[in-house]
Amino acid sequence: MARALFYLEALVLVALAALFPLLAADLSSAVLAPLGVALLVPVLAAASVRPLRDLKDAFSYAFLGTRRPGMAARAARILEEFSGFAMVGGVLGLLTSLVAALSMLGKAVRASHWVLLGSFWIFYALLETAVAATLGAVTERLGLAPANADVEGDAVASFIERYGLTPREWEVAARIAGGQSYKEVADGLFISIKTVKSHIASVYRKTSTGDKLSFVLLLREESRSKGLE
Amino acid sequence: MIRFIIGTLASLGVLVGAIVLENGNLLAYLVPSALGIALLMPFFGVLAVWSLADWIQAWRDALGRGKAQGGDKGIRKSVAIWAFSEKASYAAGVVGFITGLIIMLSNLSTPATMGPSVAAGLTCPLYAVLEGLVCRILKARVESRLEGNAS
Repeated sequence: MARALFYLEALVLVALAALFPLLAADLSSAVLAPLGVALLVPVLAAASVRPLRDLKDAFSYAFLGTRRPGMAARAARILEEFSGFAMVGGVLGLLTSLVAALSMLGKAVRASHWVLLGSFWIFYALLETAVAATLGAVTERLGLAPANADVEGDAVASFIERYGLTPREWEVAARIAGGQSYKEVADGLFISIKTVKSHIASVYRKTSTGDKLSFVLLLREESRSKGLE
Repeated sequence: MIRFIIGTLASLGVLVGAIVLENGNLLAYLVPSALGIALLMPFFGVLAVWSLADWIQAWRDALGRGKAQGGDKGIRKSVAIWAFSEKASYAAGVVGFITGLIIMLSNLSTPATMGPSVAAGLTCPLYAVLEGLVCRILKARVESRLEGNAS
């Protein structure tokens, strides 16, 4: 269902991308350059971090989506990274265009052309951001579901002790890492969603992870070295 | 490290290429004071929280390869430094822009210079976002070393 909804969203976004230029008066000169740069900047930024093959694998895994939990976490992280790069690249494009437009305010035609370029630039970049972010979230949700929900034993005790977690915090964190939503955890443990959020925020702070993906990666790291799973 | 240099330089090249291709004026983008604000404010912000040695280590963690030396705790500190630097860059960009705006508004008597002075004010957020992109790349590189595969 989540994947079907993603395809629907992607379709709407692509339709938007196709329709938007038709609304602009100066079609030919204002579309290609922003589209090219909006695509290139995040791809090059991603290539500064890891081989481009990884980016291609992440996208193809997200689209074709066989259920492999190990790959899902990585693909989701790469897509999240890409979406961030796309957004920053778009803002960069808008600012570049505005500087150019303002520095030639006396020549109204050229200035307005630059404003048009900037608008297309950030428009395409934000479309990319939306697609990559949704794709990453869907991948994470589908791939991580069967993870660490029911781990027990000494390894868990040592993990809890090392990071100073309370048993309740671990209980909440393990369920969240296992793919449950805040509401499912709240219902399962008979506590409020607010309490769930407060526990999970405390866990992320104590483990210096900051978000679910980093926490799951930390768990996986621990699993590999200490047999947590 | 080579991947980082090639990737970031190519990103910058694409940006400069787009400006040249569309007949923009490259000189309009050179504003040293804006560059100073965008570079120095985040740097001093980092030094207000961490030591210079931590900052240098964060560079090493970002540009090195394979599994990192300092263990997970060290890596997480470097991730935090780059995340903070990115946010501080954006803040510095806003400060630079508002400073430029104040200078422009105090000279309203010469409307002809208004456009170029707002343009000069906007170069600060531009530098800041570029810096933010680099910090984001460096943070991603440090994070990818948790997987042990940066290069």
